[in-house]
Amino acid sequence: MRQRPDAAEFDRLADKILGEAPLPEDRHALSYDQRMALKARSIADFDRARGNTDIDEELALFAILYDGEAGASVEELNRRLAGEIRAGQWDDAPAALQALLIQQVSARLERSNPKYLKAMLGE
Amino acid sequence: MEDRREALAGWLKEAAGADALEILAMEKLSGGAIQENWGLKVLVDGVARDWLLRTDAPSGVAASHGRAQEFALLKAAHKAGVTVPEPLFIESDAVLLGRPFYVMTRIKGRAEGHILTRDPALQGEGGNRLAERLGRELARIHTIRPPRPDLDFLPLPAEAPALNRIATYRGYLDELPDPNPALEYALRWLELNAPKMPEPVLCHSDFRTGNYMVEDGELTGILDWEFAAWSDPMEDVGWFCYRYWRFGADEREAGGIGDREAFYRGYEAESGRKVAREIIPYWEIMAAARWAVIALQQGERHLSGGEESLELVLTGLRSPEMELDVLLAIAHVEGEDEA
Repeated sequence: MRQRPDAAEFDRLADKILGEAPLPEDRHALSYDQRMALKARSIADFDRARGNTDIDEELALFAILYDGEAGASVEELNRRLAGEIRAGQWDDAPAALQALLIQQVSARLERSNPKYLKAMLGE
Repeated sequence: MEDRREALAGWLKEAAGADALEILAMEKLSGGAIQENWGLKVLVDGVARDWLLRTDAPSGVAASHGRAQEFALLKAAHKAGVTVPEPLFIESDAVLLGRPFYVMTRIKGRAEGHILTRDPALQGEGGNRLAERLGRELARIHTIRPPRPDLDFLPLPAEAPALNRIATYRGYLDELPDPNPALEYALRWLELNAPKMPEPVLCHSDFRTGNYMVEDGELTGILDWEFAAWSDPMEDVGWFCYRYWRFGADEREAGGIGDREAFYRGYEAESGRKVAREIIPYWEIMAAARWAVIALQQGERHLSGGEESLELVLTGLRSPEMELDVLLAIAHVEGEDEA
C-alpha cells in the first residue's frame, strides 16, 4: 500500500526544521528536532530509492491470496481484505494470508525502523 | 495562570482551612498534551509545602477522563493504599481559572522510561525490588471494585472487557483513511480468543514504566489515571509487561526494570491470587494492538492536515513495530497450542 507521508512531504518537514543552518559535526550534539528531521530525510531517500517495488511485491502476494484475481488497486485489495478479516472469512489464516501480512508490515518497517525488522526477523 | 495568582492563593487558603497561605512560586511543568501541570510552592500557616495543580490543556483527547473524575480516582486509589500523590482540593467550577482544576501533593523523582530503565540503582536486585513493589501496588489498585458511587462515571462493562476493547479499537481504525489488514487480523484473533467475563476491577489502563515516579530506586507515586476503567485485572499486567514499555531493556520483561516473576510475586503476595500466566500473552497482544492503533491515530493528526508535526508523523510510523509484534506473538501462541 502507498505509504504516507510521501518523500516530498518528508523533505518539506525536514527542511522546515533544518533550514540552511549547518548541523553540528558531533552527532551527540544534535537536538531532538534535528534528529527527527534527519530521520525524515532518510525515509525520503529510502522512498526514492525503493520506488514501487514493495507495491509490486504486495500485488503479487494478493494474486496468490485471491487466486490470480486481478484488476483492483492495492488500496482496494487492502480494503477488501480488511473487511473480510473482520467478518471472519479468513479465520483459518492460511499461509498465503500470513505471508502477505508479514510482507506488508515488513515493507513499512524497512522504511521506518529497519533495525527492528532485522532484530525480529533477521532480514 | 500567573495573573490569577492572588485569587488562587485566596481559594487555596479557604480550601486548606488555613489562617494564612502564600504562593511563593508557581511554574508550568513540561509535558502533557491532555492536561497542564503547575508546580506550586506554598507557605501554609508558616509551613512550606510543594503542591501540584492539574488542569485541562486547551486541547485534550476525548478518550480520557476529566479532572474531576481523575481526582475521584486518585482519592479512591489513595484510600486503597496505593502510592499516589495525595489529592487535596478540587475546584469543579471554571470561574477561578477558566478551567476546573485540582491540587495534590507534589511527589519527587523521575518518570522517564528511557532513564529509569538505565538507572544503575535499578539494575539487578534493585530493579527486581521495584518490580515486586509495583506488583503490590497494582494488586492494591485491583482491590477497588464496583459498585462504587464515587466512581459512578465509569461504565460497567456489559460484555467481556476484551470484547469491549476490540469494539473500541475497531471504531478507531474505522476513523482512519487507510485499512490495516494486520491490525484487523490481530483484533479478529483477540475476538476469537477473548477471555470470559471476569469480576471487573479498577484497572489503571496505562500502568507502565513512564507513568510512575522513582527517587533513589524507590517508588514515590503512580501517575496518570486518566484512562482508568472497570476491566479485567490481567489487562494491566499485560500492558505493564508489553515489550514497548521496556524502553529497549527487553531482557527485563517487567517494564524494563525487573524480572516478570518478581512483578508477579508482588502481585500475588498482595492480592492472595495467582497471576493467570497463561492469559498474559493474550493481554500483551491486546497491548500491542492498542498501542499500534494509538500510534496511527497520532500520525493521522498530521496527515489529515489538522496539526503539522513531524513528531506525530514519526509516532505514526512506530505502528508497524507493534503490528509485527502481534503477528509474531499470535503465530507463537498458535504454534504452542498446536504442539
